[in-house]
Amino acid sequence: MSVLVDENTNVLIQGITGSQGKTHTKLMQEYNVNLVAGVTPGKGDEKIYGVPVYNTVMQAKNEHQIDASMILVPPPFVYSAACEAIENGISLVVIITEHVPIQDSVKITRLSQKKNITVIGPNTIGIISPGKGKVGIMPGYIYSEGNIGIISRSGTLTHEISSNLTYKNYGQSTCIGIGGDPVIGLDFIKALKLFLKDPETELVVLIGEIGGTNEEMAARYIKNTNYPKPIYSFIAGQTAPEGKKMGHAGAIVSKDMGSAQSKIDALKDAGVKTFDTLEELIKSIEINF
Amino acid sequence: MKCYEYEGKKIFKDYNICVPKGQLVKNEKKAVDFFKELSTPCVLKAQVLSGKRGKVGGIKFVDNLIELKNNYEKVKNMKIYGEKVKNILLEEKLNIKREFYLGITIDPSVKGPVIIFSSEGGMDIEKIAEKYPGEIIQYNLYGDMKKYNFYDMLSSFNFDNKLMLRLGDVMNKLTNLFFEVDASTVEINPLVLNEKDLLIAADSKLVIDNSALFRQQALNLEKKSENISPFTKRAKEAGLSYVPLEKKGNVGSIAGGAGLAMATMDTIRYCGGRPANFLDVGGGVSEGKMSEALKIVASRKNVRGIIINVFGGINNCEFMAKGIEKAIEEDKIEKEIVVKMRGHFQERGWKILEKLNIPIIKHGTTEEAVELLMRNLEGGQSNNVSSS
Repeated sequence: MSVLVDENTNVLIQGITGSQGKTHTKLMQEYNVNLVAGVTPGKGDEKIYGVPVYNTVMQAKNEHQIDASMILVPPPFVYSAACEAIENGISLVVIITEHVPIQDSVKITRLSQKKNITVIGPNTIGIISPGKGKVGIMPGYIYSEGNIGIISRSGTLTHEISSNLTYKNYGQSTCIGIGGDPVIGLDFIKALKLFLKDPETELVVLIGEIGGTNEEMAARYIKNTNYPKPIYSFIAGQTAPEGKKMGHAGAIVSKDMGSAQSKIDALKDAGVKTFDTLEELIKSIEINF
Repeated sequence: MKCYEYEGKKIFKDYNICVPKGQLVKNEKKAVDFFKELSTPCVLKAQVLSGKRGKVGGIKFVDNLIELKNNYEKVKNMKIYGEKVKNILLEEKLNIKREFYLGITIDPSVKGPVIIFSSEGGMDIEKIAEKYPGEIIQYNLYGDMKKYNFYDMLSSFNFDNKLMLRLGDVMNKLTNLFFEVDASTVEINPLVLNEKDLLIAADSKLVIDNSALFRQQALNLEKKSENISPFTKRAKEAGLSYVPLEKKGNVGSIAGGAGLAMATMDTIRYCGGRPANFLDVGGGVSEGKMSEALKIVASRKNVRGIIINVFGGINNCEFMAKGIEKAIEEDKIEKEIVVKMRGHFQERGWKILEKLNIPIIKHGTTEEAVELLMRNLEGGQSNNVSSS
């Protein structure tokens, strides 16, 4: 078991003929992902490392069973590509692209809710169930199979914690980069609900960062449901000066909610173990798990 | 991108939202001419991007020519929260019967835009919320709103019919504007009811989503000469997200991804260092981009050591290592550097760094990397740091 992605997940790449598309086609094949097809309008009948390319998602679907799509198209084309995947009923849509117009993300998120489709991202590294499969751009070998579920807004912090855990022989069930934008599909709460039902996941690591209220809302959910699995948490940006915008991460310290302290307090109050550094978090896992 | 007040008002006008009669006045003569044309008490408004300009004298009411002349140069020569006043907007002074607040912004917790209205205006919305909690309404917005939706939203206030219709109309127009210009925030504060019972946007705050600027070229927004240091400007041109922190910061950092960049800063502080900057190299890092990043951080005077904390995910370790090599060679950088790097094409990247004798953390944590850097700095190896 794992969450959303396993060894049977058949994957499509939208934007497979671009430079990122080609690179990650190869890297996914190296990770033994069932990469069955690609889509780029106007490039139908081409092949990328042996993977057949179609003009539309429907045409790809006519020929293959597709369970997930990874979107690697440039920002102006994301809206159309994501809607195409959702309208065609692909149950998992992962939008890797960053700098997607926020109102496009709003529309994509709303459409996905209506059609009951899981959208991860935008602005994410995607999702990996180590040893089984991935719909994402993470280097597979720094992840390893095990029982820790990881949810993170930051892609590189997902790499960081997973590679460190892997090095210390703690594997992961599934790692989800939920994305760094203010408006995203799958959020902390939905991810926690998925891990709750996954028998393989025995512990959840939740990596947040300043800005937004996603962590506070997750804390409320954890408290209200008396979430039964242990959660270890780290919030990035504890030393960020107030009012400074740190990159594109939606990380703006403004009101009461959104600051590192507000998130840490809310999570602590919900019984979550919080740590000043990832190193401390890992050490605590070594002691307790 | 933040818009100046006058830019926002121009767009308001395009959407038939009333604004005061006004003009950008480039010099005193133009100001005098327009003042005579209006022949009514006026207001001089400094055009800056920061809020709260009124508190520091960026807004001056002028009733006659003498006052106008006295104040024009004063406002023109102001620096408001570090920002030079480039333009002045001269407007008719409104006769205010009543003030409202109207704003639309993206609320991440509902994953979409919300409209916020208050029957009290003229102060920060946070203050309104504090002072008049019962006078604020907030509703989710969708792309297909009709006028009656807004009338329904206003039903909790006891406005007379005429006012209710007019407010609903402005809400409807502002909603259309919000969606069509890809705004991330738009605010009218105050929305003024004048002596003729007309609703007029006395101020404008409009932020266009940077990620959508590619399809909003028609707005023709002025390029903002941001109040940024040469380093920040150089970083921006290279496509890097760079925020300078304290001047005395002794440890610089370069990281991939905003989250990791922040965590790196946090760790530097945790290990007893003083973070000099935030730098996220982002995706698509070429040799040149990484080289620029390192050159920028290394040229900070007080920076003695630099931690480079990157992954080969969307990026390629080989390109990044080559960029580090390039910067060190071209700028003769002698500051202490520790690199933590793993991911796609890591073996090739490591090989390049090993040749340069740069300590590499291949498998360890950020904390291990920062600790190593701090140890190397203490260990006197930093004696050869150039004093530039």
